[in-house]
Parts: sequence; C-alpha cells; structure tokens
Amino acid sequence: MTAVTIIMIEDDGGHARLIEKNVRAAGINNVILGFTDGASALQHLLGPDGSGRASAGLALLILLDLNLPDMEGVEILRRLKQNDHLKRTPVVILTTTDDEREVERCYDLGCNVYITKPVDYSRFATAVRQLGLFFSVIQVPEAP
Amino acid sequence: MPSPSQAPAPSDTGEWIAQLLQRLGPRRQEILFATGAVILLVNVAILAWTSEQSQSQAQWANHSLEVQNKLSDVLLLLRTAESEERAYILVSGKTSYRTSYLEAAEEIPVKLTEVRSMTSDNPLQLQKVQELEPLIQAKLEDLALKARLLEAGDTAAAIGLFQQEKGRELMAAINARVTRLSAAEQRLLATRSDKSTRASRQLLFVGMADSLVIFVLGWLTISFSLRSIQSLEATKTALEAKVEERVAELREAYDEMQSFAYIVGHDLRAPLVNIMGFTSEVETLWNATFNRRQSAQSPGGESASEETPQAEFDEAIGFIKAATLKMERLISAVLAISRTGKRELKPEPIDMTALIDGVVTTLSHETQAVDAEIEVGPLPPIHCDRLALEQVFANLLDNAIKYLRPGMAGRIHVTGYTTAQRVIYEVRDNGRGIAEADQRRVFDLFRRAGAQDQRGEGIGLAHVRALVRRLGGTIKLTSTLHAGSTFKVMLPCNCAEQ
Repeated sequence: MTAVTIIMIEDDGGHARLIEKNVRAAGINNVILGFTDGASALQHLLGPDGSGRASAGLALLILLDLNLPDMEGVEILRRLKQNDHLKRTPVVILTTTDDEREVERCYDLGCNVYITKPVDYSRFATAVRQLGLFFSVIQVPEAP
Repeated sequence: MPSPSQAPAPSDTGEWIAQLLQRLGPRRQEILFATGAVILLVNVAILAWTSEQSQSQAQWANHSLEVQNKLSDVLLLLRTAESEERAYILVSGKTSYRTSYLEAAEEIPVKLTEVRSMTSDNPLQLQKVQELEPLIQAKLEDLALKARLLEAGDTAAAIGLFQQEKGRELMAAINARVTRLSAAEQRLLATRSDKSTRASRQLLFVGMADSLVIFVLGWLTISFSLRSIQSLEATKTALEAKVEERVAELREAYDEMQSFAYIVGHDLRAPLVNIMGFTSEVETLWNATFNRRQSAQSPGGESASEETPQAEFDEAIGFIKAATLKMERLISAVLAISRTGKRELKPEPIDMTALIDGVVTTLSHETQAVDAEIEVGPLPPIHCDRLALEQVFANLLDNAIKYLRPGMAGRIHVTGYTTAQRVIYEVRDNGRGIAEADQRRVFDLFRRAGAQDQRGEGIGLAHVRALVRRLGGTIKLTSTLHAGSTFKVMLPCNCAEQ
C-alpha cells in the first residue's frame, strides 16, 4: 500500500482516539495526522500561501468532523473541493450530525462518503473499519 | 419661539371639530342628526309663519285701498245726487235728471253699508263711519225734501231751501270726515305695506339662515364621517402592524427553539459516543486481563472467588451501556421533534380512508399478536401533508394496540366527520384508559402514564401533538380509566403551512 496519509480533523479527543483505535484494528498502519480545529487543518493542507500547492501530489485521505469549534466543517469541505490541488482528495465526513439536509449538502459539495458516528460502539467500530476499503481505491495524484 | 412647556394651541379647525365631537360622546352622530332635524323643523315653521304674515299684511294693505275707494264712491254719489237735483231745478220737468238723482241717492246707503262692514275690524274707523252716517242721512233727507217740493211743483220753495245753505254745510262736514277717514286708511295702508315688506325680508333672512345652518350641520357631519373613516383606517393599520410584529416575534422564538433543540441534540450526542466507546474499550480490556489472569492462576481449577468481581463488573458496564443507549434514544426523540418543525409540509388532497387502511396494514403484525381488531369507518378526505398524517395516526393506533385491557379483546374504531371549517378524526379504543390526572401529561415529552409494562420513552404523543399543531390543528383526549380512550384530531380542511 502506498503511503497514504490520513488527515483527521476532529475536535473531540475521545472521538479521535476511538477512530484511531478502530483504524488500527482494521490493520491500517498509515500515518494519521490529527487536527482539533479547522484553521490549523486548512493551514496545513493549503499551505502558508493558501494555494494548496503544499499538498500537491500527496496521497491523502481526509476524515472530517462537521462540528468544529472555530468553523463549520462544511466550509472546510467547500474550500478543499474548490482547490485545484485538493479537489480529488477523498473526504470522508465522520460526524454525529445525521440531519438529511446536512448530508445532502455535503454530497452536493463533493464529499465522498458521509458516515454518522453511531452511539452503539459495535456499529461505530464497523463503520470506521470499513474505511479500510477506501485505501484500495485511492489514486495517488501524479506529481505536477 | 415657544417655550417647551407651552402646549401648541389647537388652532386647527379639524382639531376643534374633533374636540367638539369628542365632547358629544359616542352618540354624536345621532345628536348631530337630531339637532339638524329640529333646526329644520323650526325653520320650516318660521318660514310658514312669516310667509303667512307677509301674505295677510298684503291682504290688509289691499283692504285699506278698497275702503278708500268705497269712501270716494260715497262722496262721488252724494255730489252726483246733489248736482242732478240742481239740474232738475234748472231744466224743470226733465225727468231724466230726476231718475239720475234717484239712482245715485239709492246707491249711497248700499256703499255706506259696505264701508261699515269693511271697517268693522277697526273700532276707531268704525266709530268715524258711524259718526259719518247721520250726516249722510241728513244730507240725503235734505235732498229728498227738495225732491219732494220739486215733485209738487213748488220750485220756489226748493230754491229757497238751497239758499238756506244747509245742504252746503252738511256736504262740507261730510267731506271733512271722509277725508279724515281716508287719511286714516292711508296711514293704515302705509303701516301694512311696510309690515308686508318687512315680512318678505324676514322670509329671505330665514331662508338664508336656514341654508347656512344646514350647510354647517352637513359640513360637521361629513367631516365627522371623514374623521371616523380616517381613525378607523389608522386603527386598522396600527393593529395590522402590531399583529405582524407579534407573528414575526413568535416565528423568531419558534426558530430559536428549533435550532436550540437541534444543536443541543447534536452536542449531547458527541459525549455519548465517547462514553459508549470507552466503556466498550474498558470492557474489552477487563475481559482480556481477567481471562489472562484466570488462565494463569488456575487453568481448569474452580475460581469462585473471582466470579463475583466479574459479575459485578459486567453489571456495572451493563448499566452504563443501558443508560447511554437510553440517553441516545431521548436525544433522538428531541431531534425527531425538532425535525418535525423543520420539515417542509407538502399539502395534497388525501383519501383518508386509504391512508388509515395503509397504516393499519403496517400494524397488522402487532394487531394479530394481541388479538385486536381495527375498524376504519368511511373518512372525509382532507388537503394535508401525507407523511405527517401517517405519523400521527400510526402513533395513535400503535398506542391503542399497545395499551389494551388485559383479558379484553381490543376493539379500535377510526371515524371521522366534517364541520364548517374543520375535519375531525377520532381514534376510539376500549383499552385501559388514562386516569384524569394523567390526561394532560401524556402529551408531554418523556412522560408516560399507567402501568409501565410496554417499551417506550414517552415520545409518541408528544410527537403527535407537535405534528398536529404544525398542521394547524389540535388534539383532544377523552378517556375513562379501565374503559377506553378517544383521541380527537381536529384539522383545518386545508392545512397549508401555518
């Protein structure tokens, strides 16, 4: 498997840990970079100049929570999908929000999968572990 | 510049009228109308009286002229009689003069009677006429005496009588009195025509005053009506603005509550994921440790002392998980209700009999399990949101099936009828019923009533009430404990977005 880096944008430390545990339990040993707020995540992904060139050519999988302290997850999704260098990077929305309209909005903006975090832990574990399936379809973008 | 303490004087005419009308009280319109009517009546009376007055004065003036004429006639006749008699003496024997004299002499008393009757209204004049009468009588007798002498052929005696000048004196006296009488009538004529003119002028003034008063009253009435209309308009506009303001406030409060419930629901759920997740992790960890220890200590040996902590641990974990799951269900319920308010309604014409039949079909499994029967009567159609109605009646029927009386076959009836503005549907059961004290709280969120032998969080009826309210309707419960309940859903014929 290529060196796909997982970018996890999640403000709840507990959730982040549970996601990480289940990702590892699924046998995925890729690097996970965690961010607890939207601004620092965008700073990292888009680079200091905000152009997104910093992430060009990198194989990334973005796990995004919608309820962040500093900005709406939807706004992050919109900016990623508008960026020429990041628009093909798979984004998985992993959030507690299960409002239909919110789900639709995310798909409209180009998210690849929308997963609701179930309170029931076995379902939670199953949902996160299935992320592993993604790695087989991720295409590493060509270096510019 | 006026000082601030000085109130601006109500110089405006409109203002003054408004104050006047204000003082007249709530019956001002009637008062104005009555005043107008009274003034009009009085004016008509004055007009009639004045006109009558003017006419009678004119008549009286005419009367004076007639009296004068008659008096002149009397004088003329007297002179004619005298001169004819003289002519009879001069041309003796010519009988035509005698005839003329006799005609004139006979006419005089007739004219005199007329004069007397015409002056009978005026005692002063009448008295003068009465004084005149003997003089005329004497004159006539004098003339008659001469005539008799001439008749007898004693012309000399007749001439002798003429020479005595008695006739002349009488004539002068008569002349003087007639002149006085005539003058008196002339004065009367003057005052009478003067009065008549004055009456005519009065008539004109009264007419003008009339018109003015009616004009003022009309103006008052019209300006009052205009003011009433204006103030009504203003009140209406103010009320409308107030209603709009209130509606906007309510909508805002409602929206705020909606988003509050929604945000709380989500934010409460996030910690639950942690509690549940880490509880499960702890459980896994414990089990791994416990098993390892057990297998290390006494493989195959009995471990009574270790069983107790394991059981207690499992119990504790079980409670945490159950509580967490319950919490999750409650939050879901709050979210579901908040979504009820957010979902856009799509009103459409609905065949309610078919809709309820559909709901009954989905519940057939539960119905058969408890040996209940649902009877759906012919139901009036409605223009409403299909999903909301399905949810309402699914909840009501589900409750009816769930809360039957033990040992009693369940009979559930759905009926409906239409009133002027509403469509009413009733779900009636013969189940366990709800005690009167509980009848209000069953509609509250997370509240339940009666024996707690069925699964549930106390959400169904709260959800039903929220839905019915959203559709612009109301729901009522009538129930007798141990006899059954009837839920009455009253909806507008067209439940568009409320």
